[in-house]
Parts: sequence; structure tokens; C-alpha cells
Amino acid sequence: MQNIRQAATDAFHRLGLKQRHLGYEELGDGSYGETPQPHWFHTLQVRRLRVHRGRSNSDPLGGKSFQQEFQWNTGLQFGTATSYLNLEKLGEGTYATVYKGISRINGHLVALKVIRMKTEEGVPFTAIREASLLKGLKHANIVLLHDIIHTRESLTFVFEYVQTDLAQYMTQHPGGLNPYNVRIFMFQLLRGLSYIHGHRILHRDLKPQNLLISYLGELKLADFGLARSKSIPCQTYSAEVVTLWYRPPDVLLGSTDYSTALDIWGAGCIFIEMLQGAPAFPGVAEVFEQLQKIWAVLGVPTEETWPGVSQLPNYKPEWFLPCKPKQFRDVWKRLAQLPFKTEDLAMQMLLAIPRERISAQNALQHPYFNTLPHPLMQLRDTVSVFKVPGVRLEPEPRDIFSPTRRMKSSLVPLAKCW
Amino acid sequence: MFQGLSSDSGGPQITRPPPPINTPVMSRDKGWRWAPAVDLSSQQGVLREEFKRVPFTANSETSFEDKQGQFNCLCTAYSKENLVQRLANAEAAMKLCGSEEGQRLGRLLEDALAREARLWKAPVIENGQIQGTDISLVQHQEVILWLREMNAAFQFCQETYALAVCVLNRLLATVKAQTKYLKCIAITTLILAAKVNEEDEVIASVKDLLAQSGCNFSTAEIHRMERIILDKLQWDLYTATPIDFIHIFHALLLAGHPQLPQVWAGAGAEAGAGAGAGARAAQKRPCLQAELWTRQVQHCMACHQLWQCRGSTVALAIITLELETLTPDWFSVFIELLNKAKIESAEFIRCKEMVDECLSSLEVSLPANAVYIFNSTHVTEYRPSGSEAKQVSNWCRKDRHGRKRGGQKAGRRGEREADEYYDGFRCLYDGVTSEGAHGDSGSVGLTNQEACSCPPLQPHAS
Repeated sequence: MQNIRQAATDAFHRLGLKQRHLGYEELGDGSYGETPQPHWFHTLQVRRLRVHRGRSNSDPLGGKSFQQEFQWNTGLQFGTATSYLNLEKLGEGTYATVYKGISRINGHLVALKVIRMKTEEGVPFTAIREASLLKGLKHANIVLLHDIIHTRESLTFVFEYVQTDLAQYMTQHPGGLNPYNVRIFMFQLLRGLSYIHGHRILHRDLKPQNLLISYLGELKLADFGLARSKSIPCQTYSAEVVTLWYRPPDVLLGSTDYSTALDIWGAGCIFIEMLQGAPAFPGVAEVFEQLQKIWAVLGVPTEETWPGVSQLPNYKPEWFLPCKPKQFRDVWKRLAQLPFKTEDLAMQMLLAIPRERISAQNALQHPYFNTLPHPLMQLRDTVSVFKVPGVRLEPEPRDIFSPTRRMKSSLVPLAKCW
Repeated sequence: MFQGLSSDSGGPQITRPPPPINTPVMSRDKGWRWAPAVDLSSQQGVLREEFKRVPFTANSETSFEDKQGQFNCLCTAYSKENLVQRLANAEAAMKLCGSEEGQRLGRLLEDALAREARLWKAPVIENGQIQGTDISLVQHQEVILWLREMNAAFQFCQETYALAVCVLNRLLATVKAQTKYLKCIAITTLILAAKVNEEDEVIASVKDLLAQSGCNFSTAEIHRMERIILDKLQWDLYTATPIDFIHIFHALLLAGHPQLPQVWAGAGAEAGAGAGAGARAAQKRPCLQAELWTRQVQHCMACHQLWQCRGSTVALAIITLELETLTPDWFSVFIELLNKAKIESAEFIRCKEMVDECLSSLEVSLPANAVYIFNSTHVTEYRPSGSEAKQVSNWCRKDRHGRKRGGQKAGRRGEREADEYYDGFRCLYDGVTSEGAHGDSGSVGLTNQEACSCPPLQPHAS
């Protein structure tokens, strides 16, 4: 008994959780195994409420937990399936199904990622990478891995629960997001990238679906299944990474010695997509079409504009339609309505030559972010940007869940432009 | 479950031999007053330089005394005159590294050191065995060499091998494993390391890997072991390997001292006509130097004397030994790296001596100059030498015999598939040999040492 309690305390420390429950320390042997059954109804009721309101991403409950009033079943352990209750299915990925759940240990909402085990190959490499990489990463803009439940038949990762993701958020608010919010999202995205790149980790699968957004507007990088650590020297990687829309031209051309610039291109595409309300280079299923989309904006590269490009395996200039480079503001109209520094940052992130693309670290220093409160630049890794006074999301110009609501800000005409 | 976890946090005490009495200790808080250490290190440097100029012949041994005297004079002059100059150089070098690239690499190094500090663990050696197990040092060394062969056979990169060895050592330091499971544990660590490190298109299926490795474990056994290892190490496999440190130090050197590749290339050319091509290649690709060091690290990883040294220390020792022979200005460079890596000087000196011994044994065992002649065609893949090739074929032979027995066993194993997985884990962890397991391995006519398969995991007898 002592051991288990001690171990549970250790586990709490390990996970960096606070012990929220006064009752926890006092629990004696007698109270063990007593399930505070009625409390579940309370929680489930509360949850229902949250679901109704939660879609607006402006949770009036402010994330306040109700745990203080309740004692949870503290006899339950981390690492066992019985400690969590499945609530609803949230989504299905290529190698896992994600459920919303609730921890019976402390009442926190969690996301349960149930990973399909292949009988032949054991634990999928994506799961091993995700877990072992996330173990070393503690940052406010990286999703937190609470627990791993590993049994004979199944493998479940327990993540912190985050309400929505950027793809859903953009569906909910079509026609481009509020530029102020875009700035906050971009800052957090680059902050997360700067952190993982500093730990020499490439995400390699940036796309709106993998950027989780909390009701406050906190953005968290998720799905590290394709991510990998990058050692310095001449090591080559797979060219089959990143969803086509967000894959940089050098990798499309077959380059395999890419580096952190890979993720920056993806972030640049997401930047445009948030402003414009539509993907930057969308709608194709094949590498050459994808390249053509990019050349339509950047122009077809030549050995003069990009030394070494002709050495790349897929470089076949005769296949490309001749394109001249264009101004970003002519391609993506929203940029024309915003100060030039927005376009400048986008241009620096979407450079064809990988080594010339801005680094995440430098992008955070870009004048585009000057209008954000200054203390943001000195935040500790684990502190959310929303802890800084004055940082909060503004209402989006459009919301499909409340179509009658009209913003009186100057943003509305912008949204109508296209 | 939790008791298992807590055993990890406690950790076995690492017993280290006391430092030699006369070892000069550099204390970082005393700033630049490191005179004794300077003397010692520069002596070694000069010694090596001197030795390098005189060709090694059988009768050169006689002149050793003379050389010692010569060298003593040399080094007093050397250290006194050059000390100030050298320290100034070191400071200049550190300023040079203040560039953006230097800062980035500095952060990388810090991160790698932090991960090493968090996860590095060496098995404790007791009476020629790993503490709490019946695994002898020789068996452990053999299995590490075997892993290197397998890594080459599977065409995984060197980082994968290094990671597998780190995971294996960490596991052996964490749990009490038995010899009969050693090979199963080892191959599973390699498969796990590949899953972490290799691109998925490179990794063959577990079944193919097992067939290629020549050991007749079933995939179910491997998966069970995989689960045990992941649980015991809490899924935290992503550690910093000695090879990572080689790469980081190498990049730091190149960033701070762009002239070094030419020095290396020049030294290569000096070494002999055969190395000419290598030298030219080295100029083109400075990575070749890192490749050489990587090979040396791989060799050191199999030396059990060096287990007690951290990967960062071993990596720096290898680089320093090389720099000493090639660069007159090695000391400032070395100090800069030592400072950055925050390595204890006493530990470093001890480690460096062991690395030197370890590498010289490599030079003896291989044909003359085998390590230093650089043929770029050999760089990308590791080719086993004649004796090693024989070993590989031995494994293959064992495989053929083994597989027949494996067939018989497979049926029985299938019945036991339903075993609680913790039963197997208990056998592994408690270090209690169950009677059943003994009987089983006996029935297939193999002693524990020879057994190339992991006997079926059995429920605890009691």
C-alpha cells in the first residue's frame, strides 16, 4: 500500500502534475477502492455542457476544473486501462483512433490515442518515435503525453485533451481568420518549432490537422509519429514525408538531405492558409502537379536562381510550364490588405532554396511579431503565451455556428472580398 | 508496476575505481590555473608527435630511453614558452565560436548532454560479471560485437547501432537479466533502435530480420521482449549516443576552426601514398574525418573497460587523441571542447588513457595502418574482416541447425502464447531461474552459453 502510494506520488511528479486533491494525502487503506460513483454523473453533466458551448472556442468556464470539489478514485494507477473512461470518438488516423476520455485518477479530460498493433511488426515505429521523442519535450506549444497503457493486445497513449485543431477551426471560421489571431497562432507555431528544432527534432508532418487549438487559443504541435531526430552530418532521410500540400519544393524534387527548413515551408503554407482561408498550394495528387503549383508562384528555378537544383533527381525543366515569379500579394489577395511585413515573413518562409528559408528562431524576431506584447519573447518554455497580460484571441469575422452574428470591425469587408 | 518503476529511480550505485594518485586535477572554478594538467597533456602531445616522425621499426625500441630524455627537455620548453600563447589562442577560438552557427551547435551539445545526464546508465561490474546477473564481460562484449555485425548486415546506419548498445546497457543496468535472454534482448534493442532511427522503408519486417540474423526467435518472443524493454525503460529510448557527440564535436571543430580539414588532409597525405586518395576525398568531404572517429567509437563501445565512461567523454577522448597527432595547436581546441562539454578533467584523463589502449589494440589486431588509410569506397558500409566473416558464417551454420529445433519448439511455444506476459517479465527481472526453463533448454541439447535462442519464457516455478 505504502509502495503504491509512494509510486503514485512519484508518477505524479514524473508527469509534472500537481496533486490537486487535498484528500489524496490523507487517504488511508480503508477508503481504498471506494468509487465515488455519484460524481461521475456530475462530471458527465458538466461535460455535456462543455460540448455545447465548446464549439465556439470561447469556454466561459475558463478551463477551471471542478476537481477541487470532488475526490477522485485515487486508488487507480497510471498505466492501466481501467483508470480512464472512453467518452466519444474524436477521429481516426492512419494508425490510431482517438477518443475523448476522462481520467478516473484526477478527473482531467484526456485524449486517448488507441494505436492499432500489427501482429507481425509489434509496436509500430510511429508509436515508438512519438513516445520517445515526446518524453524529452516539455513545452507549452507541444502536446503533453500523460501516460502510456501497454498491454498484450493494445497500446494507448494518453494525451492532454485539447478541444479542436486548426483544420476544424478554419472550417468553423471560413474565409480567413482574424489577422490578429493569425499572428498569435503563428507565434506559437514558430515557438514550438524553434523548440523542437533546438532539440534537433524535425516534425516532418506539419499540417493544420496536427496543430491542436485549445479553447483559449493555445496552439500545440501534435502527432510526432513521422518526426525524427536529426544528427548533424550527411545523413539522408526519406523524401516521402509531409502531406503533399505542405511539402517543400526541394523535397518534391527528390532531395533527401533536408533539415529544419522542411518544417518552415510547411509553417509558411499554414500561414498563408490561415490568412487566406484556403490552402496555399492545394488540390493535387501528384508530385509534378504540386511542383507546378509552387512554380506558378515562385517561378521555375534554374541553375542560376538556385545553384545545384539541376542535380536533384526530379528536376526536369522540360516538364515544367514556364512560369515567372509573382508577387505574393498578387497570388494571395489577403496579403495586399495587410502591412508589408506580413508578406515579407511569408516570403522568407516560402523560399524555394531550403538553406535560405528563415529559421524558426529568427522568424520569431521578425518585425511581423513586433505588435505582440514584449514579454512574449522572454517566456519560459513551459509557459503559455496566454499567461502574458493582454494576449487573447479576438472574435473571428465569421463563424458557421453562429451565422447571424456579424462583426462590426473593419474585418468584415475583407472577408467579403473573396 | 510501480515497484518496477521505483527500482529505476533508485538505480544501482556505479562503482568507479579511485583516480590515480598523481592525476592532476583541473578544477573549473580555478579558472586558468591548470598548469599541471597542461604539462601532462602537452607532454603526451609532443610524445606522439615525436613518435610519429620516427618510423616504427623493430630496433626503434632501443632508442626509447633517449627519446624520453629528449622529450622531457622538449616539453618543458614547449609548455613554458607556449602556454601563454596557447591560452590566448583558446580564448580567441572561443570567441570565434560565438557566431550564430557556434551558438546553435552549443545548444545542441547542451541538449545532448542533458539527455545523456538523464538517461545514461552503465551496468555495474562485479567479479567479472554484470552485477546481479550471470552475464560475464566476455559474453557482453561478444553480444555487442554481434550487434555490430547484425547492424551492418541489416544495412542500418551507425547511429542505430550506437543507440541499440546504449539501450542494451541501460537495460542491463536497470534489470537483472539472465545470460540465456541476452541475445534476445540484444536483437530486440537493435530492432527498437531501428524503429526509432531508421526510415520505415529501410526497416525490413521483423520476420525477415530474424531470418537474416540467424537466430531462431519467434516474432512473438521479440514482441514480448520489446514490450518489456519499453516498459522498463519507460519508452524513453531517445538518448544521446557517443556517435551523436562525435558529430556535434566535429561540427563544433569545423565551425570554430575552418583550417582543420586541410590539416587532416595533409596528415593523411603524409601517412603514405595509399592514403593520397583518402586525403583528397577528405578535402572534398570533411565528414570523412567524422566517419573515422565514428568507427573508433564503435570499436570503443565493445571495450568493457570503457562502459563506465559516458559517451560524451569517450567521444572527446577519441577526438583529442587524433588532434594530438595531427595539429600542433590541438591544446586550445581541446580546452574549448572540454569546457563546452563540461567534462570532469580527472575522468577525462582516465578515459583518454583507456581509449588510447583500446584503439592501439585495434591497430595491433588489424593489418598495419588499417585504420588510417582511408579508402572512401569503404566508408559508407562496414565490411567485416576475414575473421569476422568466418564468425558470420558460423552464425549462419548455427542457424540451420537451430531452425530445425526451433520447429519442434514452436508448437510448444504456441501453447504458451497465452501466458501472462508478466510471467516472462518476472523471470527476466527477478533473476530467478525457473526449473522449467532450465529443463527446456536442456532438452534441446544446448548449454546456456551456446544457446542461440531464447528459451520459451516460463511462468515462475514458485
